[in-house]
Amino acid sequence: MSHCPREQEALDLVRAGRWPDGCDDKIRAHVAACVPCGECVEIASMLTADYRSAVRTAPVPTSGLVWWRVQRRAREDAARTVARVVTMVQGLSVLLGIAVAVGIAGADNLKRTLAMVSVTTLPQWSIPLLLAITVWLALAPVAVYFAVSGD
Amino acid sequence: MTHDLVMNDASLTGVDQKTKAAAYGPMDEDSFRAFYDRTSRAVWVYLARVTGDRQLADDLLQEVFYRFFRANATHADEAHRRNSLFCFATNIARDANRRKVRSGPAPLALDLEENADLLRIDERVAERFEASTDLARAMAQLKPMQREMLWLAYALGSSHAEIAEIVGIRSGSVKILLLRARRKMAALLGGKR
Repeated sequence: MSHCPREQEALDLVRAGRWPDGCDDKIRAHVAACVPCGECVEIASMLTADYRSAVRTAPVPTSGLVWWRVQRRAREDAARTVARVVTMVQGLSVLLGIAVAVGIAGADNLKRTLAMVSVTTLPQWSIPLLLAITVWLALAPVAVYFAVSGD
Repeated sequence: MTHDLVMNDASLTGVDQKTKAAAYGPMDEDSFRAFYDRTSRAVWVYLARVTGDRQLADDLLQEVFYRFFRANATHADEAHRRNSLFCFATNIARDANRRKVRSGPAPLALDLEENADLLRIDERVAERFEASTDLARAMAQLKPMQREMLWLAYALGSSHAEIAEIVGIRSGSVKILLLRARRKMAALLGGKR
């Protein structure tokens, strides 16, 4: 038999501290004969006794100290979040500045280059350069993100 | 305040009408501290028994209350708030247990040979010491979820619905899982005697 309808009754007696002395002979006899109730009482008695002795000596800090730590940590976390956002914005600003500078320089160079080189040689070096700049502009913000979110 | 009573008794669930009127929304300092005073010891013992490590329980207790506070949740009543707290404790203890598994087993907290003198001092002390050692060893051989369920059901007196909420399983599964855990525990304890 896996369950017994009197398990709860036996458990209530253990939790109320009435097992085994504060209960009647009928329930004691039942628990002695019933395997599920016997298991329940044995385990509940051990765990309840362990809980009661441990809870008296539990070395918990005071509520005032925990409140202070919680507040301090909440402030630190908020400051860290703000710092992360600021770093992200700074990183993106720098990248934007570089992109604009590269764009201006690129446009200027392009004019000069177009004037100097022939139309047939231009694609040979400008396409890889443009590809490299595009990849760099795409990956740099991702790299910055991982750099600042490492904590 | 007495801490003798188990979780389903007045020390943890019974709050006065004034506290009830303060509702169960986001906590200010007074409500946080009062709630901490009512529950911290039970949570610490739960963490210590589920992880099997008292020192770890010290660290985890702070983490539990921090995350609980940061969640800033509204609760229906004191029992719901307490179950939510134990839910945080369960998840944090599971993370800690996973880290422990990765880093290898911790040494046993009590060494019977080293403490042999203590055992001879007083038969009653020795009996209690042996009983708690048996209990600790049996608990250590259970799966983390079995430890959680047994502790919640038999030490704290939580209902099946509360256990389901805290452990994160369907309410209908609690009965059979708890039965298996209980049988395994009984076998482990029986094997020691």
